[in-house]
Amino acid sequence: MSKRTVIPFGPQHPVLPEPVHLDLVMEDEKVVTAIPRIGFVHRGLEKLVEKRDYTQFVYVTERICGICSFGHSLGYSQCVEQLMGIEITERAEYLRTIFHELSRVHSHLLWLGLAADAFGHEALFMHCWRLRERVLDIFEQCTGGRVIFSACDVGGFRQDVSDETLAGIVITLDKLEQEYRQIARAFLDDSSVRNRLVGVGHLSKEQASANSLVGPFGRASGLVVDERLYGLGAYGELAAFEPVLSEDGDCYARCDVRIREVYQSIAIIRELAAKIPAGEVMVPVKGKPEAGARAMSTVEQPRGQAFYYAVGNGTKFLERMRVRTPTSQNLAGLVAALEGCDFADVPNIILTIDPCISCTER
Amino acid sequence: MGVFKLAGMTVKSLFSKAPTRKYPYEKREPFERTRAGVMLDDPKGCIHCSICEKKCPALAIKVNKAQETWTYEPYKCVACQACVAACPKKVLVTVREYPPVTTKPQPVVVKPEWTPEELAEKARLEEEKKAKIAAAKAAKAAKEAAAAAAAAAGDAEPKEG
Repeated sequence: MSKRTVIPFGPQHPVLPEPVHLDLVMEDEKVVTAIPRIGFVHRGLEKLVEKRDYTQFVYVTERICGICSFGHSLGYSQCVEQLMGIEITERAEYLRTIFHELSRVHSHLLWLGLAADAFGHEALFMHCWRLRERVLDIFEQCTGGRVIFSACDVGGFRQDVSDETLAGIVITLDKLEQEYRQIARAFLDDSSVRNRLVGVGHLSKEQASANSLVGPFGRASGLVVDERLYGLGAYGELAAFEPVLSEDGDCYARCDVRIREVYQSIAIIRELAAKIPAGEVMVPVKGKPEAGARAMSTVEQPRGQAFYYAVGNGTKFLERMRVRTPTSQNLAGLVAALEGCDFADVPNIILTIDPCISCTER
Repeated sequence: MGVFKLAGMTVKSLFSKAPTRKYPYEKREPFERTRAGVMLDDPKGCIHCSICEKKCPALAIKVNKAQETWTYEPYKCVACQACVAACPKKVLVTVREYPPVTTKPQPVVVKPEWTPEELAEKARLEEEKKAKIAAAKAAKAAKEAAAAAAAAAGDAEPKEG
């Protein structure tokens, strides 16, 4: 047995958009095991629920994470609506789903750019972010914010988006899809990309199941995990929904799953924009959550299943608010995927789980 | 071959218009719904009810009713527009331009500047309001006294009978 060394990786590293620290136990060039450590961006947002009332807290949940901000406000709003027995209108359900899928498109495009940057492909990185900018423009046009939308609120959707604007969004996405196809081909067919990704960081279906992986990370190992299958919100109105799966379980498969999910999201937006019903988007919210009332909801974030739990205490403040985010599930899978890999592949493997550390630490 | 696909994209980008802008020399018009902050549009219309202060999740607004001031900190504001939606007099408006870069953020204090005529008019309205309240109170007291007297008379009658 050769001598073991420990190499610290992070919290500051060019490949990491957010701080996470890994102690890599190495044997020559191979990683034997990785010990993760988080806690660099903890902000205590769950505790803040005692200081901000339930209508103000939706703005706090949005700021849990910049990339999945809409998903967090959606999950929190659904949870509080269940807690207080509020039924929102059908148009608001559709708009929420459309904007949630748009934020999936923007999140995956951002990730594809970061992945390209991680394996050293600067041009591809810029092309991905160029396309993402158009999605951000759609957000700013419809909601007023590029990253934090403040669009989803307890009781519905704050500002209505007209049917003409929705038709415009579909046209923009159609154009985006054509350009995206070229970029996707560069990712999937390029030999230099394949050399860096195929067979790297392999996780079998059994390993994925044992580590309870969620989101595209789990689906790339063939695990059927997708909250959208349960038809919550407007997902139940879709003609058909099939989660995007791959059986290979390596970095290339994760990349492939996310690339195909962008097409799927665009198709969902197209379908929902065609059959969105007319009507109001907000219902008036009055009263306070009852003491001891409990509710929970789940949302399929771009990174996987996120879970929300809220308890009322009879005042306008909530007793407890809990969020379990996809990356806290996937960190166990990351450690399993890193075992036995080459040192040079570590950045790629870390990036292909799409870590969102701000979400995890809240 | 993926390599040629990427080469094609690169050549295309060489001859197409740059997707970036020379910010900050070249600025794009903000969209109609762009949110960058809030401002008190009509200081004389504000009734200093403090609802905006209570709704603000970032504690960026302070209202002083005695001094009639509305204080706003642009660098604390998260541009959520909760105050604009809650304002009962609809005097708060959305600002679409971002505040300029600074190292010393200063709060914005808005105070209405009343002309002597307006002050006199305000005082007159205040007096009228006070008189109305006093009249209403007197009427209520008289009504209550009458009701009490009637009740006393009603109570007394059965005793007599």
